[in-house]
Amino acid sequence: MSAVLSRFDRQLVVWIAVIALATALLLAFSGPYTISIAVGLFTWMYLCVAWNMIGGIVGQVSFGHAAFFGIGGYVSTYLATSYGISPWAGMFVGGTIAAVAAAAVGYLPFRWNLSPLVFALLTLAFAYVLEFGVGGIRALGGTNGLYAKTIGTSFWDFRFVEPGAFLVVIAVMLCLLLLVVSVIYTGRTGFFWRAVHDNQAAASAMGLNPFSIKQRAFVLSAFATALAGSFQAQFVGFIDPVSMFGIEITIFILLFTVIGGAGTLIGPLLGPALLFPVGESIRVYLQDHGGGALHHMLYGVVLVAVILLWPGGIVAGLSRFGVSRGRLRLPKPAVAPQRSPAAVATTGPENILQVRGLRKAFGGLIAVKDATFDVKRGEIFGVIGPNGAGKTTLFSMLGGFARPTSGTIVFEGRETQTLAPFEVCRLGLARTFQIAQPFASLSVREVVAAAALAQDDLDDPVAFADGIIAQMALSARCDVKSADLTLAEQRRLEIARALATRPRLILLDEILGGLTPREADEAIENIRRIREIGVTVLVIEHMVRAVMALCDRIFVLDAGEPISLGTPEEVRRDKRVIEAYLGGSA
Amino acid sequence: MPSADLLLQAVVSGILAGGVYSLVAVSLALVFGVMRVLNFAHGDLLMIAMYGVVVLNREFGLSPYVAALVILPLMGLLGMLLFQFLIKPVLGSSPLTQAQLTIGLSFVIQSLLLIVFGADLLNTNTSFGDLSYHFHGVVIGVPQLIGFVVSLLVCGLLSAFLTMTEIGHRIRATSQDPTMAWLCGVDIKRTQLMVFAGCIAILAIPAGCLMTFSYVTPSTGIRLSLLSLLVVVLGGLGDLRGAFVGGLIIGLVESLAAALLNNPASPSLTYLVFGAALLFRPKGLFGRGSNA
Repeated sequence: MSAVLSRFDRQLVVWIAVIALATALLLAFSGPYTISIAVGLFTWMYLCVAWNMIGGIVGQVSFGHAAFFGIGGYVSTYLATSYGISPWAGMFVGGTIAAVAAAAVGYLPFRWNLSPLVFALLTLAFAYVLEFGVGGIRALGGTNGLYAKTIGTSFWDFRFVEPGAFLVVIAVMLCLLLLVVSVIYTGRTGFFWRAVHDNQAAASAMGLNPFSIKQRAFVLSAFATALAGSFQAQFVGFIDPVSMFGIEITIFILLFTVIGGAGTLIGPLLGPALLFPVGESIRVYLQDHGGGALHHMLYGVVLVAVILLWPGGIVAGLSRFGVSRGRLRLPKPAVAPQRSPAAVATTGPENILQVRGLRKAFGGLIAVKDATFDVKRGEIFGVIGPNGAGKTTLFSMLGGFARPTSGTIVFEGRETQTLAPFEVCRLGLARTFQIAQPFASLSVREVVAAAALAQDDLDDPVAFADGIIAQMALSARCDVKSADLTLAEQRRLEIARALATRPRLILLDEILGGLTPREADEAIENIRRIREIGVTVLVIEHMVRAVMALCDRIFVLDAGEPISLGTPEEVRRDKRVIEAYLGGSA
Repeated sequence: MPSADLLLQAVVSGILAGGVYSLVAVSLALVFGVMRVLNFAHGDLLMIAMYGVVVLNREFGLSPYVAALVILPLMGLLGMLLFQFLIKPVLGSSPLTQAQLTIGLSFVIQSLLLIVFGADLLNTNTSFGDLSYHFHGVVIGVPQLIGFVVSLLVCGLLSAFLTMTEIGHRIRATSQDPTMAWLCGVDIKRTQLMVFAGCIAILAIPAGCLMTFSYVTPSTGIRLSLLSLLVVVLGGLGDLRGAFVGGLIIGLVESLAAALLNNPASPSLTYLVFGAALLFRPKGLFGRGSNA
């Protein structure tokens, strides 16, 4: 029981209580007019919470949520008027259709990893296609719109005489949505959403699949949005393309959410709660006094002011009063962290990695030319070369971040050159980044835990993560935001994140660069310890001295071409290596 | 299926309208190129100029073209103020924050104009508004033709300015690589201010042209904003040549869609074409746009 209760975010529980109380008070003391304003407010809050899942927390801004809202409204109304199907059932049919539509719209931009701006405009275009398209379909009433069925008597007709009944329905919908969001956010998925939002490349290097994470959040968000569309159609009793698909709906959702704080849990509730009642009062007051658009102007001015003053929205502005964006919840580890994590299985082929004729061309430039080498299980293998030798390109290909022009990479008997980074990672090949990839909003412990949580077969991911944090000497800094670490600490965090994916081969990209001699010595010790637990290590390094001291075998690249391969002693004596580093033979 | 004459008419009107879109889009693309801000209020600023033209025409009887020239420096001033107080503070923050800010601006402009002018359609009185040429069954309106020619001319001048003058070189350098340009001694902030003010000032010209054959309401702005945004993204963000060609294409598609699908659903075709183009050429028509 307490496990379930711990999944409810405290701030959201407060809001749920407030919503329930407000509903009760309104029903007891207010007239139909105030209640219908409250219905509008709750609808906007619901829409903002739904949009915020993909647009705020995952960070893929959709400009087309009106499309899903409209799909919900049109499907339920059409099914009810033409086939007599209860709008309650139509609501879920609409939600499902909206979910399928979202999966279709999001598929290519997410799969091809197009820029968020392309995704935003694609969703915008989708909403317009529907707005105008529906206007041309006579069965859906064209531009004239459709009327919902006249008021029936049974609950299944979803048409109530009392606006109070609608208030109860939307309040229940809003509370349920908040509970769903809370449970998802405080579970594994919350970590994944935030990780993808903060740093997609590093998230893939944890073994997370950004495509499916974004796709699922988008589908869920669209489903929830469509339910509100069905509700709105029943509440108003009439729908037309502009009121259901119009750009204004999306703009209002964005505006309220951004003002409240996009990406935070309570921002999408706070924004509408503060603005909508004021805006509506102004609108109604001015309607009686001639004017009209002043409430829109108020919204616009507040939006501009909030962005200039508190770029994170009101929630960010209130952060010093203890308002937070919503905490991720780490499950309690069952056992105390172990200082030395369990050894990694060392069975399997002797050559853990086989690289054959690997080549990468950028136009006419050949960055890596026919690299061929094997990495033996349990060794520390070094790749060195002067600037521009193609080390990092080679590295990106091994990690799945760049696709080779030709050649093969075989990891433990499996070809990996066509796999995505997260797939490579899941096979047991992890990497660090030369430029440390911080997660702006995650703490050290959250980053490592997220990587451990991404592994499906760990019994106690948090204890495992804590063990790695201790091993990397980051325990004292585990609640610091990862972007606030020193350079040496960020490098250790990179390694910790990679180790948390339980790799059998770890690729370390120039982790000594920029460190003081003392820090470098510590880092070298660290690498040796990684090997001792059974992880094979491949280092790419600029500091030749360190590599010579550390590695069992070394592969030397120059201007994309492999020029030497052997033990440090052999490489040191190789004429071509000396030439490459010291210039042509005189 | 509509007749060949009708299609030809649609092609001609589409290209004529597209020319004006091109000019609006080129100025939006230039703003994006130089400061990486996607301005969602561009059409609303154009709308301000259109209302300005209407006022000058109705109060002082100025021809829309003359009115445009009067408004041009005022728009430049407005652009300067907006840059200083709104755009500059958000330079460098996330593209979506910037988009949000300009959406807020668009909201303010739209409601302000609604309060001042009301929701009615407004147009100008000109002596030549109804003149047209007939050419093998195709009707070419004189104001549309002038608008097209003037837009093309301004685009040409702008292109010459950017490629042939030193200031133009500075602007292009800033757009290609702000850091390098800064290291080479270009005053980035001043260049950005100049470009923003200049691009807003230029909007007076399409405003004057549009008001000779079209009308304006407070919701014109958002339509034009989205349209020019579409064109700029289609052409490739920051790619001026792409924006120019994109404008002609969108004008053409819009007009052909209306002719082929004589029904309220026709604009959806434009957005379908746009969506498909975006998916398969995410870096724009010429593949040279920034991936933002």
